[in-house]
Amino acid sequence: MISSLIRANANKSGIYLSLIYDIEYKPTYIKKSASEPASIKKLKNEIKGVTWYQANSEINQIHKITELAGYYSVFFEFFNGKKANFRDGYWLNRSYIERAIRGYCEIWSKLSKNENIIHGDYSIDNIIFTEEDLIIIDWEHFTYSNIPKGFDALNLIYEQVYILSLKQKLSSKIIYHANEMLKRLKFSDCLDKIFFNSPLDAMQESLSDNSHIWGKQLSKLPIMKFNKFECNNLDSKINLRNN
Amino acid sequence: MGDTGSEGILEVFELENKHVYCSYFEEEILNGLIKRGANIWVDELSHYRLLAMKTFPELKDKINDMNNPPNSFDYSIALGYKTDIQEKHNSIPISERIILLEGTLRLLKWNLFNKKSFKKNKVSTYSVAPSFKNVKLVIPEMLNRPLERYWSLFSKNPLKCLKLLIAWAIIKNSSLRKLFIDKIIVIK
Repeated sequence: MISSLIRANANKSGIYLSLIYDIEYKPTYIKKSASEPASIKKLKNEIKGVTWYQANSEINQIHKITELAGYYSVFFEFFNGKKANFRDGYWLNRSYIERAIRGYCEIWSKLSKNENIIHGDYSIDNIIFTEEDLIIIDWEHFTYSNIPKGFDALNLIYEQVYILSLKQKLSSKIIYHANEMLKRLKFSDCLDKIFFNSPLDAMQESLSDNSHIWGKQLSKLPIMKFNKFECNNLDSKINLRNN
Repeated sequence: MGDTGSEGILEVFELENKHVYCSYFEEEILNGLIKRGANIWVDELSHYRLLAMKTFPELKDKINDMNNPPNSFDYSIALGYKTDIQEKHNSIPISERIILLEGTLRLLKWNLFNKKSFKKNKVSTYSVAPSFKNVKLVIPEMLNRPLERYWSLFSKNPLKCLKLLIAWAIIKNSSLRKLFIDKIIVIK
């Protein structure tokens, strides 16, 4: 097997990311490893998330785990599939968003009301789209929390809305589409009531109340970059008040 | 460029329970090897072993001296070609020799003189992308993947910035990259 180190200390996480190839240089595994206590803890949390996801989706991502004193590494399966371009924003990514919301509902609709589990970074960037399915990756922020159902799906929607808002004014067709996504979440029993009236405001509040999950990354999250005015403005257009 | 002086380079090797002969002492590398489960041998006469024992007293059973060498090594790690094992020990077989090549002179020497002594299929070469401090990217040369700029340009040292800018220009060109960017050479 041939390896290449593709990223060290990504987002200051202390985690090494490597690609493992077969003899024909086709990617076979993604290896994540850590040698500092804090980063080992993060990686172990990710394994908790992946294991939970496997139990709910039957998608196995883990090939091998090595645990030594002061070192932890995980070989993840490499999935061939498409990834949306995060920078394209909401409209160009709408078909991916629809699939991501459907995928979210397939998993989270199975959970009971009291089972509050979040991926924590459910971004279009962390989903691999295969022909028929989708695979959610990067479970580093996986948490059993008090954050209500629907949080991750809304995170994906508003993140893409934010990216698009940097380039252009949000047109009515985008607002309509985002509202449809919210409805889909509600009717799949995947959106807590708290998000019905002012979803973005409720999202920001959930993030602030649980800042320990994201630490220093919190202020860098696209959702947190909407100011009060933008937040109120969007909440007046994207909501489930009349549904 | 001093980029190979980081445990990040060890990520491209499988080291758990492997026997590794280390001919030079670089704290981070040695620490990285031990953490990754390697058993290390260092020269008994050198000061490296003493230093290593001082740094990792709790892991002393992982650091061995050459008075008691194994029958074979999985890897040897050396800074520069021909410095990896003392002559008196060169009868011990080594499966893979890892050579860290830093700096233009060492690279030129390797490319002009040493490389020819080995069959192509016996040598694997990795390029180490330049960075301020820690290794960010190690790519097998065979992969022909474009190397990207994986470092910030903000440094208090303008010379370092200039050096990195030049390095960036070099890595864009695959031929120049072969000659001027730090390498990890693995000889089988």
